Amino acid sequence: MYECALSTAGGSFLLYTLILILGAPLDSHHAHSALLAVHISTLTVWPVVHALGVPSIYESGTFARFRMTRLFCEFRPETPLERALVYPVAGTLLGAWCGVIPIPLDWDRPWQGYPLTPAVSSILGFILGGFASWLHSALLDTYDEVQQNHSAMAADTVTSKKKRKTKRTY
Amino acid sequence: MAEASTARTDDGSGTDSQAPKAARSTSWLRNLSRTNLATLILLYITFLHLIGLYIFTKGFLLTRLTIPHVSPKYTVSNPPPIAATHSKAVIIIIDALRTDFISPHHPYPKSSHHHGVLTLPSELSQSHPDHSLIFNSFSDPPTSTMQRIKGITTGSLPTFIDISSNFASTAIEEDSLISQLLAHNKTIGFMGDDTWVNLFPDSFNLSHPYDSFNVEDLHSVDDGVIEHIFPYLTAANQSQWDVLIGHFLGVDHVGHRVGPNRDTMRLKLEQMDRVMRRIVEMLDDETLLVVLGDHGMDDKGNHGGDSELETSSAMWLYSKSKPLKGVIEHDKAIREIWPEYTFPGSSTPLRHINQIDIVPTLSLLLGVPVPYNNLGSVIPECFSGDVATLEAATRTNAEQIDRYLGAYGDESLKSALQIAWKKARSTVDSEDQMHTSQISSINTHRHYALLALRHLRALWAQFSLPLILVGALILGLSGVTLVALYVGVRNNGTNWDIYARLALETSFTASAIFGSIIGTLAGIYTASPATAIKVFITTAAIVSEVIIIFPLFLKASIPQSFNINRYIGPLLLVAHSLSFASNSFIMWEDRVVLFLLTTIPIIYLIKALSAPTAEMRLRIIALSLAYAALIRVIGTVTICREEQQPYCRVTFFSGSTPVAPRWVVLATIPLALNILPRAIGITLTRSKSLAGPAPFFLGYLFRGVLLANAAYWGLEYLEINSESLGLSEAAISTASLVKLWIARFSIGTILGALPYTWFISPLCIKIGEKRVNQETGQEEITILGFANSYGSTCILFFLIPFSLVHLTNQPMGQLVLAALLVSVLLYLELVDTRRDAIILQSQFASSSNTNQPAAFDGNLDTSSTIVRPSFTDLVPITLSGFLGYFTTGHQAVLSSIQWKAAFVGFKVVTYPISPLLVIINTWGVFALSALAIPLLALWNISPRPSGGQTLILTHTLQLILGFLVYHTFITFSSAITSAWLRRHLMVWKVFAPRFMLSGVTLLVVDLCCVLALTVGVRVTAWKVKRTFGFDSV
Repeated sequence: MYECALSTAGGSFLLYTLILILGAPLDSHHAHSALLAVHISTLTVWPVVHALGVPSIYESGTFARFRMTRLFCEFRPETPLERALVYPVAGTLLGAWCGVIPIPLDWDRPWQGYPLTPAVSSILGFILGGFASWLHSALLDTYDEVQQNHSAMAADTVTSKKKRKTKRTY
Repeated sequence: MAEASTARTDDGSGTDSQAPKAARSTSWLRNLSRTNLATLILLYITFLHLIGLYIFTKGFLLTRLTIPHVSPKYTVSNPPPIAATHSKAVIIIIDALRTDFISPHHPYPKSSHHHGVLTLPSELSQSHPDHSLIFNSFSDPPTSTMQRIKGITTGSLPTFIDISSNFASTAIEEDSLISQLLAHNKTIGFMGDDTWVNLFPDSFNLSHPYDSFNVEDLHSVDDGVIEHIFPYLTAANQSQWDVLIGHFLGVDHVGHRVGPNRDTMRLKLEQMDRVMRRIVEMLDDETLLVVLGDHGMDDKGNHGGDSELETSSAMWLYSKSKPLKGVIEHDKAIREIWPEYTFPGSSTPLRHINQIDIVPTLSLLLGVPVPYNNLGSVIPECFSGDVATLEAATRTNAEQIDRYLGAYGDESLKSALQIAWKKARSTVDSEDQMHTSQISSINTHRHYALLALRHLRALWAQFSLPLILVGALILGLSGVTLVALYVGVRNNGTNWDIYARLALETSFTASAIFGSIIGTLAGIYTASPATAIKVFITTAAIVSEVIIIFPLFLKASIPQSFNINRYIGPLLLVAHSLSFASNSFIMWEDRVVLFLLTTIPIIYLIKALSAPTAEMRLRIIALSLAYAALIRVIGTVTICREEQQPYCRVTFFSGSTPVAPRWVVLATIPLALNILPRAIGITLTRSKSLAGPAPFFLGYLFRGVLLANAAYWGLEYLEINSESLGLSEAAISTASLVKLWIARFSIGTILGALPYTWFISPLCIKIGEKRVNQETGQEEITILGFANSYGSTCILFFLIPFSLVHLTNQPMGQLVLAALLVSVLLYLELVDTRRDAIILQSQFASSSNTNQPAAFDGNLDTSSTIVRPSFTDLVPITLSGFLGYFTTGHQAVLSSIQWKAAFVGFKVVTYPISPLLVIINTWGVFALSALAIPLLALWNISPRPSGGQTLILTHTLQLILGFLVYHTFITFSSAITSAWLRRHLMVWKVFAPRFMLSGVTLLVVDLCCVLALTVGVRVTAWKVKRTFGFDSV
């Protein structure tokens, strides 16, 4: 818990910088930006650190560091669990990025105010990411199962033939 | 890639290595050198853009020539055709007063909020039908206040661009009711909307303007008008003025804020009713009262478009003592062609006139000539006292319109109106003063005036859809053509010339054949050579595009792996293009561009940890963070569009404010002296290429020019603020003289000394000590700066146009330009580091030692391989061009043009240099972004020592094509969205200006790409070949 909270705080700081860089006002709305950063960080950093922990910077952490890089820099998850971890994170960030689109529109609706739309769409992205990871894993599993069945059946026929052959020779 | 191509001879023509199939022909295309071939491609693209933009613009941008002639003054020798009925007039404009607001015939269902509230006009029409006339008047779209004020003073039709002699001012320079009144020594008092004062700057003797912009404020303009108008109307002050103009904005603002169906509207109209009653009460017998709405409003209270509710505005004429309407009004023969109009929902028709008809009517009633450009026809009721008066008025009116058409000089227009004019004249020539001939004269002259108006409306206010479509087609296809060429050049690597020769040859041949056939047919059909040539060019352009695009669909394949680096660039282009579909995004494009631009370094930042060595990881993180932060800081500088208020604070100081606050002016000096030359020097030192001519070029020439540029604007600052600084007269004149010559010195150096020095100087390299290699016994020399010998030479070239743009920009712009230059340097280093990381990674992948990555730290040769650039690489540079445009104090509106730049080095406007300076100021950053593109292909790419070829030209061409893809699609998108939304409320305020900006930008970047290729890259490659003997392909 302690580790999670600390790294979420660190993530918030980084995200706050990125939010400012992407164009959040520099002279106002600081609390809004900071809260948005905490919100996104809670959606992205917390679950990951909770599941994988913070890799050690020493020799013992080499594998964990490589895994982190593979998952979050190269976006190459390999197992369903990794997918369930990576997809919501990507969805959250993508959702927050797309969430700025309604802000400049001249509809004069109160919900258009910054940072409501990025916050809401990051949650939507998180949910959709979860679904996507489930769908991807499920489809892959189904595909594998079909393949296995297929090859098992093929193997079955081969072995039965062999058995028959061996029976004959005996 | 490089291994696949055969060795080349030194002549660089490349003909010897062609595929056997291609070698058979001896066409001129095959004998072009590679550089010339690349230039030909770019010229071909420029040609396509020119054709597409020309055709599109011809169909879309409506233009009108303004004619400076003035109708001659009425004198004793040139008497007015009819006697003036009134000597004075009060003209009240109630903004957005729709017909039904004052009409006695309320539409059904009746709204208690705006029907029957302002009842004075209908009451008076009821009790004094001859003294009070209510009309429904048609306001020509665009129904925006400024265009309508132009209409009701000049009597002309509004177009987007009025081509006149003075391009810098919004003032009306045509003949108008106001100028005619002034010429006849009438005193005009004005109060209300300050748009009038912008249109007629020195015309009003008594002027009380109020800010028209703040829509939230419903009352202050109206209160101001009320405060000033009644004192003038008192008997004691009646002699002070001849014409009073009052412009109330409250009704319009209520409409914009809450719409017409609220209590606020009722209260506002009640207030107007009270004001009207008081004015009518105070009028004297000599005065004519005109109350009119400049346009209507739609259901929601908005206006600007051409819907029925927006174009029907109210008009009410009232005269206290003299009747306006005469006896012959009941004459059926005359009344016949007076149109009537039934307001939607209403059952009783109302007399219908054009709003501009008020111009000739008022002129003749007040005894001044009808303005020269007027197209309105007199309101017949007002001259219906007797037949002779009406005949004289109508005839004068028609003769004036004919004079104008003669001066406008459109042949097709003349021939279309010839018959009507002859018919009208025949009634006059008969010299027969009979009643019937007078009536036929009235009717034929009136018919002629209305017909002329109808034809001119078609000429000025109607888009030509076929031209729009053909232009957009050519433009859009040119974008796809660029994609096809980009893909072709990218996939063929060093053999790109074979592909390009084949593609161009086929497409040129086919387009010549098809173009000739169709052009000839068109020529035969229409029997006009001009049409044949036009059709030939259009067909040739389209056919050639289709031929080049065709292979794109043959080899289309779906990529196997998803790579965010590869897709983010095209994705940003798509997002940027789509954003033009909404006026909000165009208004906020400066922020949109900032958002898109900073996305790329942030993705690099996230991906940085996957770089193979710790040093690279740190470098990428530091560079991308620094780049993103610098871009963000640049992005804070803005001159806000008026629509961005109140969410925008002006941080670019120009226009009416002083050039800049003092700290900005002071900051440019150290920047020019030290920071900027040193930043480039430090960057060059990293690749050890601060050698050869570079120290002299940067340390003396570049520094000197920058200092002169900064000093110019510093002196300008002193001159403008001389009063507050307490400078003497002599000091000011010295300053302005010194300023003038500093600018001239700077221009001379930039155009003379800088290019000359760059051209004659060798590469930026230094020969190190000779050493004897211990093992082989051979002598070796080290060459410092070898690795970046292309990039260092090319960036010196880039600094020449940079200095020119720097000169034309005000101090704040100079700060931004310096920051942008530093950001480009950061980005080049970032791309170089990422390139090295990719090479290392691929070496990891191919080596067997993948389990021990630590063994690879250091000692890796990254110079031998060249990574193919990607589209994403060029997007930040491209977007920097857009960002730079906005942050150097420009917006996509005409009013943001910095006219100050026209006077750099000149005391008065000098053609053609002053417009050129304004163009350099406006499009300079776009041009610089085009010139910076080759740097991406050249930076830290060392010449190949092993007799091999360096893919300089290939990659430059690929990147330039990609860059043009971006700009073409942006232009195409802004073109089709503005054409698609051509009836939109905002088209002339938002979409059309954005299209004009991107159209010119496209041509500017086309030419700059040619310049970058033919001068920058060619001379650099030539220098490298002269020094090392290596070819650049």
